[in-house]
Formats: sequence, C-alpha cells, structure tokens
Amino acid sequence: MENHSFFEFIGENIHQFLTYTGFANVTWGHLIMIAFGLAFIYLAIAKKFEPMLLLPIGFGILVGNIPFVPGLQIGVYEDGSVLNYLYFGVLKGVYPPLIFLGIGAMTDFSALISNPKLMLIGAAAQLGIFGAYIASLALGFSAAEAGAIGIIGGADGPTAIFLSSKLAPDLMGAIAIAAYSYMALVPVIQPPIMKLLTTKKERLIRMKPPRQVPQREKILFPIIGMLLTCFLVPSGLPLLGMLFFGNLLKESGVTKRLATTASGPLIDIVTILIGLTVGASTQATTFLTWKSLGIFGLGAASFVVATFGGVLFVKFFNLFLKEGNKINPLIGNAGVSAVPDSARVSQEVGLHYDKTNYLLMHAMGPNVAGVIGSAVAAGILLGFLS
Amino acid sequence: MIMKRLLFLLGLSAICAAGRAQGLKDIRINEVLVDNRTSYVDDHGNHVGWVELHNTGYSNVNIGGAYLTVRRGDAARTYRIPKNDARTVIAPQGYVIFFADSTSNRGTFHTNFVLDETGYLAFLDQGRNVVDSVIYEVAAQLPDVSIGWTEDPETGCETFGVLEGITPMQANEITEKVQASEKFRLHDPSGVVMALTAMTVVFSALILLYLIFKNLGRAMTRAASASGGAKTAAANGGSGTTGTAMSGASAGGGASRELNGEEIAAIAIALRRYEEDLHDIESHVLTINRVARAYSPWSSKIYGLNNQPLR
Repeated sequence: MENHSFFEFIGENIHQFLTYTGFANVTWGHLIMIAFGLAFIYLAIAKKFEPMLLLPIGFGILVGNIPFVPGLQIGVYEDGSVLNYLYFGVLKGVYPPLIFLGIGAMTDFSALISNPKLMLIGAAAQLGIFGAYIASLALGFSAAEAGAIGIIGGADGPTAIFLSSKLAPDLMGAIAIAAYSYMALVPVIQPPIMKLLTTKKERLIRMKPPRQVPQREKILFPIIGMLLTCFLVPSGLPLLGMLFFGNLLKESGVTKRLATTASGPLIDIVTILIGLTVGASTQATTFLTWKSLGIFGLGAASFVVATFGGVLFVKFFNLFLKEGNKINPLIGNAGVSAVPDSARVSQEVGLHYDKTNYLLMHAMGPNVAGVIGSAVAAGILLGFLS
Repeated sequence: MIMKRLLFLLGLSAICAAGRAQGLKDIRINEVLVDNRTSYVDDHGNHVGWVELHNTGYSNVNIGGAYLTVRRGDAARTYRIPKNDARTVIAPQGYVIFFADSTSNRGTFHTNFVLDETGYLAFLDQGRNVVDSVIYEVAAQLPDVSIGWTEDPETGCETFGVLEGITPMQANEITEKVQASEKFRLHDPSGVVMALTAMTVVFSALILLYLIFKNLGRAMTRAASASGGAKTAAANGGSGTTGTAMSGASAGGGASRELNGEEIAAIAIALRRYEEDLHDIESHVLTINRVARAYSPWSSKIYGLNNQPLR
C-alpha cells in the first residue's frame, strides 16, 4: 500500500515535471520563431551580416521562445524575472541613448564638417520615415503605431527602439527586428536603386578631397550641434544629447579614458543587453501577428523610399552646383544612416564604375548626418504623437 | 582662493535652494471639497472637507515642512505638514489628500483648520511663501460638490471652478482624454501634413548646422592663414631680412596650407610601410649573453641565517 502510494507520488511528480518542460508546451509559433532565430544566427556567423547585432538578437529569439508554463518568473514579460529586469532598459528607453553615447565617441564628423552641404543629404533621406508613416496610416495603423513603424526608415536601430518603446511598446520587438534586419540587408537593397537612378556620367563624378578639419572645429561641432538641434527639437534630447556628448568626449582630447570606455566596453555591454532582450521580446504569442508582417513590409518600403530620397536629392542639388563642386549621387544612399554599411555600399558601387574613385570618406558625411537627421525626426514624431 | 570657494559654495547652495523650490512649485491645490456630507471618508470614517494636492511635475516632491493655511499669519489656522512621514513624498503626477477637520492630532493628513470659515486656502513653502492659493465663496459651496482645476477639452485652457464630479486622488477630468497622436490624426488623416512639417523641421535643423559650419569653416581657414602670415612676417622681421610681400604671402600660405586627403593618405601609407619594414630583415643571429650575477640581499646568506640570541 505504502509502495503503491510512493510510486503514485513519483509518477505524479514526473508527470508534473513533464508538463513543465518545453516539449509539453511547444507550439508551431515557438518553432517558427526558433527557426527565425537560427536564421539570424546563421546570417551573422556564415554571412557576417551585422554580426554584432544579429547574433545577440538571434540568440535572444531562441531564449524568448523556449516554451514554459507562465507564472514561474522566467519570461521577458513576467514581472520580477531576470529577463524582465534587463528588458526594463529597452522598455524605458535607457539603452538607446547609451548606445548613442558610444556612437558619438566613435564617430569622426570631420567629413561632414569639412563639407557641410552633405548634411542636407542626411535630411533628404529621412523621407523614408515619413513615407512609411503615410503608408502605415493608410493600412489602418494608429498614428502612434505609424510613427513607430515609420522610424524604421531612419535605418537606426537604437532610434527605432527608443521611439517604439515610447509610442507603441507592443510593436517594439517587430520594429527592432525589422530595423536591424534591413540594416543588415543594406548591401542588397540599395545598389539596384542607386544604379537605377543614376547615369554612368553621374557615377563617375569625382568629388573634391575633404579639407583637414582643425581640432577647434571638431570640438565646436558637438556643442553647437547639440544646442541647435535640441533647442529645435527638445524631445530628441536623450538621443542627440548623448550622441554629441560622446563626440565631445572624443574630440576634446582631454577625456580619452571616458571616450574609450563609451566607445568600447560601455557600448559593447549595452549592445549585448539590447540585442538579447529585444530578441527575447519576440515571443511567438506577441510577434507572430499580421501586424508584424505589415511592419516588415512597411520597413522594406521605407528603406527603398529613403534611398530614393537621398539619391534623387543629390541629383537635384547638383543642378545648383558648379562643375567641379558636384556631388556623386552614389553617396546619396548613405543619408539613410545605417552607419557605416550604407557608406560602404557607396564606396563599393563607386569602385565598380571607377576603380580609382574612392567615395567612402565623402559618403561618411551624409551617413553621420543621417544619424542626426533620424534622431531629429524621432524627436519630432515623439513631440507630435506622444 | 577662499573668496572663490565661498562664491562656489554660495552658488551651489543657491542652485540647491532653487532646485528645492522648483520641486514645491510643481505642487498645486487641485481639488477642494468644502461641504462633505456623503462622499469621500477619511481614515477615521468621517465625512469632512478635504484638499487635494497634485504634483504636476515629473519628479518626486517632498512636501514635508511646507504649510497649508486658510488665513495667512494665523498660527491657529496654519498647518505645518510633518517632515517625518514618508507619505508626504508625492510621486510624479501624483496626488495627496488632507482632511480639514481641525483635529491635527489624528495624523499627518489631518489639518488644524476647517474649510468653511475664510473662503481662502493656500499652500506655502518652508519659508511661508505662497506656492498656490485659491479663493472661494463659502456660502456658495454645495454639499458634495467639489471645486478644482479642469481642462477645457477644446481649448486646452485650465480654469478653477465647480467640477462635474468628485475625483479624489485622480485627475479632475471625467471624460477620457483623446491621445495627442489621435488628435493629430483627426486633423491629418493621410499623414501628409506631418510628413511635410517634419521634413521641414529636419531640413531646417540641418540647414542651420550647414550654414553655421560653412561660415565657421571659412572663418577658421581665414584665421589660420592670417596667423600663418603674421608669424611669417614676424619671423622675417626678427631675422632682419626684408622679404617682399609676395614671398611673405607665399611662405604664409605654405605654413597654413592644409594637406589634402590624398597627401594625408600617402603619408599614412608611407608611415605604415616604414613601421612594417622595421623588422622585415632580421640578422638571424642568436646571441646568448652571460648574465652577471650581481649581489642581491634576497639571495644573501647573511639575511637567511638566524642570529644567535645574545646572552
């Protein structure tokens, strides 16, 4: 009798244990998401597509889609779980400004300062954001959701996470994944559009080499840049303030240790945390919806429109520039941000047509202007829609 | 030096004081119920008049040490909010209620005055300066009808007056607020206005930056060439030579001339190659030198032996 009850007890426990395993709780949704995660990891390792981002996100997708019984304080959405604490930095927009601090400390704005007219390309390429905003409204998304989706066109992961966490937190996982995926696919998306919109003669334009920028100008740039952009769009302060602060740490020449920390260990730690938790936030139940599909479609469209905007603006701008001062429209795509991938695309496409025409340095100008432009655009959307 | 430190400390304390005052300035008298017959009850189960304070700011504000009064200068009708109660910290956008029952010995949130005497109510800071005050007609107060600040949904303007309903510990507006994003959508359903406005702002920001740095760059280049010219002229004058204007200018230009990107790249490559070539050719001769064993106290036997005890 006692033996019987003992075995019964063991059996019940084993049964209970089995009901808690992932195998007992798995759904098709989990498996699809795990396949997504594995694809991201494959792209990061085998194809080297943005590995710093796709690898943590890919693994995060695996972590977030391990099936479990709710209530055990395990999942990213469960109050009190470790993942939930880490996710707090995403949800409250803590990580993106820290990443911007690191980006600022890594970025050399010399190309932009030496040829400031390239800033305008960074503004024109933000067209993708507002194109996607209009399209999202037409597809029935709410205004706040449309704003969050539109920012994918800014091709800036931290900005997309920051804005979506404020405007549409429930869509943040899909928006972040879409933004980072398309950033990784910039070398695939942009070249056909650049070739389509330019003539052979335009692709061969040689630009003047940039002048050497004195340190005083480099120091003034973050100070003036921050004051001006933040006075104009105060809601962009968390991103723009940190971006320019990081740059001042770098350029001042007196805070080398701080700049090294911001551009090294700090940004690495935050990238790990943001990648993993954003990936983990894509639980099948919240991610596999028609809305996510729409977000991916709109994200792709916004990248295309942004590239159109940048390249066509350069062509338009060239109408007013003297011969010898003209800009090669192949750097127009770099205005979409996605530092430094889109500038690299300009370089590669340029070299394809002229083996001695190096566009990388010129493309870095609109590229970093795109970072400023997308942060300003995010600030405007936040100001209007929150 | 001492003066500088003193000024620094004074400045710091002024900033701290300003910061504290700023916190209390976020507090306002949000709702007042003078004649409470059947509505909100206090923690002793009584229906008494109450005052709701609201933190309109976005940081915690501690109102401990501040005052509530219905007659300024009258100690019997001025209540000092105790400092030693953690509940006096009002959360961002939060609320707190004081019961005006003239029995302040009942706890932190019971005042020593009632509301149906003077028709005046003020919230004072620690220095007894008025932070916010309201005036009302006592006789006009209806039972269970509160007065307070409310926002006009159309104009967005706030007015102090009779409220539609009693709303203790919450916003005074009963009707749900339309979100800013949805308001925007009502006026701009297609999103075109937003796109145009936002693109204009983005362009304006970057055009301003462009103009500033275009002119700054020019000014810097001009200043650099001017200082280069001046240095050359000074050098020429110092050495006693009478250089022509032409040579001075060219020398000045030479000193301030900036290297272009190709020249910098060429120098960088040359330096890189030089550094790479430093160890390209090795002698392949291995030399073993005998190391001289210099005296070291670490290996000395003198220090390793125990000294004999003295008798």
